[in-house]
Amino acid sequence: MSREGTQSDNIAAAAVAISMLVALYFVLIAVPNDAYQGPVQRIFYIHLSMWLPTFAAFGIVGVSSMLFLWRRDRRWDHLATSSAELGLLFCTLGLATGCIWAKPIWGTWWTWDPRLTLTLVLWMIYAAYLLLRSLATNPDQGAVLAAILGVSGVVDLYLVNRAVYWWRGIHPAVVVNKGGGSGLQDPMMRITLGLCMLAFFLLFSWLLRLRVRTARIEDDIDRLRHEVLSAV
Amino acid sequence: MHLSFLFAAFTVVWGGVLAYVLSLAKRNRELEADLIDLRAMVEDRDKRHRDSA
Repeated sequence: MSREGTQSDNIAAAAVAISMLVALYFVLIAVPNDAYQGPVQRIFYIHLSMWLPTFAAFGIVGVSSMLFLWRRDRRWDHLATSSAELGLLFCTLGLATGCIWAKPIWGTWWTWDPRLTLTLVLWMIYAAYLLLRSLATNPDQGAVLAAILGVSGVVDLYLVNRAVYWWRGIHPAVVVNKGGGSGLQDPMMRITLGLCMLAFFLLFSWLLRLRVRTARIEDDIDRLRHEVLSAV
Repeated sequence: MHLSFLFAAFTVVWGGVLAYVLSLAKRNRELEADLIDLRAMVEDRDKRHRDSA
């Protein structure tokens, strides 16, 4: 790797670390307790921050899968696979933190609310996407089938976003509530949420960059190995 | 009581991120090993070419 590449990696890692520390300070110390939910409401800042990377990641999967199907350029496939992996990570963490928040507030870990159910479907779509990639006996065919699944998953992404407005459920609309205003009344709460979202988005961007690079090297090594073995 | 839920949520998030970063590091170590194998294969092939010439 070039010296500039290593330097920019170090700068990106430092930016992620600093933004995470600032976000943690705000979530754990600076922001006031919610009057009704108490300290458990602080889970919301990290729970909500998982969804920006999740939506961005699955959106990237949709666009890059479409470009892969159109151009058949392996670089788009690398981006789609890497993004799906990270999207699934953040989606899992978002679902897990949601369950942890729900237990003391709703009295149950899980309920079949429209948004929760559609999010679980979203998780399953991209888990299937990654399974398809890893289990395909023909990698090229697996890449095409996964790309089709990756594009179709975007429909569910839109449904997850709209679910709290279209159907009756108990999932709260926090950032923009049903009346159009913000669900967070205190300005410090909005600042904390913004900082937390920024920190996790930077983490996602940094991990995506590392993961795409790994995917490209894996592909190069596979191709070289194939060339060497076929020449022997 | 509710602080334990807060602690659990933070543990899950940081544990998950840490596990992913470690798995990425492991994959990179495996790639380095693959690269060493590949280099040995190329050197072996070149040596055989030279010997046969």
